[in-house]
Amino acid sequence: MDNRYVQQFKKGSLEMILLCLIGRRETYGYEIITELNNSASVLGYAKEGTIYPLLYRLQKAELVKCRLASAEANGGSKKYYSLTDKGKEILDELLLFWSDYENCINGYIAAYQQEEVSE
Amino acid sequence: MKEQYIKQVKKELHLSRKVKKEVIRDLNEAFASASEHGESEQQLIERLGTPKEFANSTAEQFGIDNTKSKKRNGIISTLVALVIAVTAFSVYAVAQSGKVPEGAIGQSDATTNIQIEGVFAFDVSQILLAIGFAATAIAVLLIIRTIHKNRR
Repeated sequence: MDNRYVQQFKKGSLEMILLCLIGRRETYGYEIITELNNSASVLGYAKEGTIYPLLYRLQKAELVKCRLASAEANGGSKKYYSLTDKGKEILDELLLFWSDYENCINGYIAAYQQEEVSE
Repeated sequence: MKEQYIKQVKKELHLSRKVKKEVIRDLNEAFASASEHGESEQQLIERLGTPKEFANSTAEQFGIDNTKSKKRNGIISTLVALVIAVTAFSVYAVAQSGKVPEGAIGQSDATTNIQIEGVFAFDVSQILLAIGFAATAIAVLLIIRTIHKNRR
């Protein structure tokens, strides 16, 4: 079930999902990928090649900030991401929109399904 | 395998030095995290895609088309070379037409001046001609290179 339209949905919502993940608590790249891959059955497998660039973009848009912390286990440093105030604001706006959006779309779906039943 | 991969990404990534450093750091972290979680380098690389794919998708998010910026630079330098060539040739042509033809009789009233100007114009025009030819040669080379690249 991976047609073009499904891919479009996924692509459009990935940034919002990232903001949710990062907004919950400070997290780092690999953890984000791992968590995303828990829903791989629906979202498909997350790849560094997709997620890292998105993180750069969110950072550039100042929705996300990061700090470096030395990580002994991996012999270097880990970059921890968190939301900026602006990021929080945008995410709240997005979530508000999302629920309106969902209701609206569900309305169309319900109308369609009702029609189909009565036919 | 990791070193090789990162080296390739470095080569393919056309971003400012600062951004590039950041990307490479993150890539190192990805490898470190992967091994921390018991994932092999091979598995991670499969997710990352080829170094070129990774570099291109990364650059894209910075608003830079990694594949096009190189091409664009080629086109710009070709245009600059062509402009220089045309300018040099047209200035040369103007200088030539302004020069007194040898053995001209009608212009004998301002001889000394014209002769000095003539000598001066001659030297400059030779340099201009050289510049014109050099710029043309560069432009042609660049065009050939671009065509050759596109064919690949």
